[in-house]
Amino acid sequence: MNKPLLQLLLTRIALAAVTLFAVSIVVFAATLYLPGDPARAALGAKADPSAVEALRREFGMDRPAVVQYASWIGGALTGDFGRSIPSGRPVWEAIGPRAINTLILTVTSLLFLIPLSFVLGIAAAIYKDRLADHLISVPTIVTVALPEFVIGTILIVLFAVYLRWLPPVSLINDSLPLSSQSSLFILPVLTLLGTTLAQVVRMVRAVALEVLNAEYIYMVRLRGISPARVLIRHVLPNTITPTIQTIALNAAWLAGGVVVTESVFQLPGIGSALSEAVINRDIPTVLAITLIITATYVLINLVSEALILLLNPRLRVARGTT
Amino acid sequence: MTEAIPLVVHSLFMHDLNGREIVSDVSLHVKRGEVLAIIGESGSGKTSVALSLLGFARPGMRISSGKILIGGTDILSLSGRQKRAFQGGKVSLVPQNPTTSFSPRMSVGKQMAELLAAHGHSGTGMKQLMRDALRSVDLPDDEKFLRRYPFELSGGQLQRIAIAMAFITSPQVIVMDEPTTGLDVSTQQTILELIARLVKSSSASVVYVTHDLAVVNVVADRVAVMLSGRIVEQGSRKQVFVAPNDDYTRMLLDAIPRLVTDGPAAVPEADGAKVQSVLEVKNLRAAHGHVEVVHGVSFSVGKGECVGLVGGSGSGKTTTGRCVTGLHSNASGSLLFQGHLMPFAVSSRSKTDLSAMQIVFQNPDRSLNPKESVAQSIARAVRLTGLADRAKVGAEVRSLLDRVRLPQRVADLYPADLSGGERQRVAVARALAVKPKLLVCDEITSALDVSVQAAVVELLLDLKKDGLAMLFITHNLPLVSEIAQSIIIMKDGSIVEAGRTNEVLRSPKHSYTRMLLEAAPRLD
Repeated sequence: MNKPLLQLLLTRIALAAVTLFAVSIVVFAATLYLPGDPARAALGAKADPSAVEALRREFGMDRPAVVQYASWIGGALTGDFGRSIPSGRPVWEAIGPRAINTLILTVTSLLFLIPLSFVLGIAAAIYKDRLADHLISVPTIVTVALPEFVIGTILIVLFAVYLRWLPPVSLINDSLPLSSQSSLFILPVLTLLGTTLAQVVRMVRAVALEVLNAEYIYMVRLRGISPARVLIRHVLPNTITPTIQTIALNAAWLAGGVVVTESVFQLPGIGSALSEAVINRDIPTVLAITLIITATYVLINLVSEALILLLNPRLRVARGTT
Repeated sequence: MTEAIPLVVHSLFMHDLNGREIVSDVSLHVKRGEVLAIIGESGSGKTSVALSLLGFARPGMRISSGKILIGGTDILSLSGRQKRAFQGGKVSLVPQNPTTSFSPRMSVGKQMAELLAAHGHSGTGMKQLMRDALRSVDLPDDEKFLRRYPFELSGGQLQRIAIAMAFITSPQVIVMDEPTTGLDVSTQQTILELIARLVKSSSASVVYVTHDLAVVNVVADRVAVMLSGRIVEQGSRKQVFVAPNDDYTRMLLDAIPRLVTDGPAAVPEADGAKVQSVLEVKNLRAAHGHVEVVHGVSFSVGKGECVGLVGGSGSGKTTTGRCVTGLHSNASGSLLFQGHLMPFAVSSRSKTDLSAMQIVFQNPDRSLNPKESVAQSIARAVRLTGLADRAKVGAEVRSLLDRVRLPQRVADLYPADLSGGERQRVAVARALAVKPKLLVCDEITSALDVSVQAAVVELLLDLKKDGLAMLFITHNLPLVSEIAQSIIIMKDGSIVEAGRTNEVLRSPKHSYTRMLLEAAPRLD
């Protein structure tokens, strides 16, 4: 790897770290000043004040804010997010399996989203204004206009109530292996695809249209290169880079936006864990989940920027000259 | 027939999607080793004909009828795999703009290999072919060069590769679509020489499409002249150039600026008395960043005088013009305009100075606001003079249109509705609206067809008669000889020669001037 590229990547990584650090401070400060005492919420409104005080001391909430933050972030960096207030169990023990469920849900969605949007987007561009284009464009635009709870409900009515192919809710049983429950993910994944696909397909279509009309594509064709090769070696590579940003935006949205989908299907994921924790004033859990979601956001952006840099031959080959 | 004529086009018709006829009844043939030049102005259908030879029509256009026989096979009757075997294999194309004709994310070596692989080559034979082809166009043939991406190479280098790729499969027919138009002037010359050399040693039939008649003289055996989709004249180069049968051909030939090096000066010289100087440039130095590109240039432009500033790309002529007009302020030296010292930065110049000096740019497509009608564009400039009354502004716009000889009906049209020459005249009218004393023309005819170019030059001569001083920046020596009294030749940021145009052209002192004179294409 050459020097300027390495430098650019290191700068991006440093910036990502700074962003995460800043967010952790803001989130921590916000929970400190939120109305409602977590200890009182855990013990109930009529609890003995001395018991509340004892609980506060037990969780270190009587210490100065800076000390609390330092010990929290120090733990978080080593993977220790503290203990959940209502249950007293380590936070990670409670949210770990749920985080995995969410990870499976979003990664599966992405794995379908990316190839599907390139196939559909490029096909729509090739058959611009013809039947195939309309068949691709109209449904994707309709689904993007619908909120995910509507899409989810329609899917439940269709596949669970009417066709009875799939269960209406995705109550995952932690004690069974996930592989045996994969059908529970189908409808949530479809819902997430429905909300993200249109945007990426539109973007791919727009970029591919531009590429298809570029002079170099005509030149490649007039050299007698086969259409399949023209698509794969010339159209596709030049379509990918401008669309990475859009895909990253949607991936980042998936990381945080699964909350609604999870609650529609009652899928025990990180999103439903977050809403439960907020209701219970379970601050350590709220902090942990927020930090995880933020980190995912930052990581996705970092990866997309790195990809854009790596895929740019100008930066890849920079030969000594600036 | 034992050996068919490699290229025969029989009664070709092309239409656009609205059913308008773009190419009408074009028939031609090119023998082995022969070069046919198709000449015509923009919109004549010459490029459509050229691309049809590869069995291709640009989007929005279709080949309606006719036959295109490549080695006896009608390429229009082929489809799919068979057609692709012809494209790049039996008939190849050299494109107009090399920088946009290569796939940007693939190394040039891979693109060459891709072409060869598509036409049945592989292994060491392929590598050898690539090396030979690169050497034949005077490019390095090592692995390192082949690994380069298009953005790492200059336009000239890319066009050499495109030419190498057009010859590499030993096709029967090679189509060249304005192969030097997208290049800068100094590169044009060397690429043209390269093409002439390769064409001579090749047995392929070559179709060379161009709007530049002077280029034809260098490469063509026969010439076909196209006008509005038809071939109006076809014959040997000599016959077409010396004894043209068609009025349009005669008009085209007449419109070409000719180098006037002897006889009476084409431009009437100011009679003896020292003319009043409008602009005096003294020891002008200009830099891009820390790199000095103009090294101490001095000259002056008098009232009603046209000074030609001539040089190749990188000579500093455009930077000099930009310094004068205030668009480039990273400069030192002095600018004396109408007797007073003028600052370099356009922001610190007085309003009167700003309106007294106007610039017209090379490309009117980019200097006119596409969302403003002609009248709006000019009126905005007219109002800068302080005129506010609607009727008076309108009258002034009309008189300006008259002055640049545009019909009144164009007032309500938009730039997209006009031809290139009309657009450039609008740009000139807009510059004249503020009643300038000095007009800086930066390659203002380069983007125009020859017949249009001639009309713009005539307009400039008229304006000069009215006392307008002009700094005419160009690479086109023959053009300058028609319009400028004095001439300044620039090279690498310095003036190498200056003087009265006819004297400089008749007896050039500097070797660079002599080289320019020799490079100037002429018709015999």
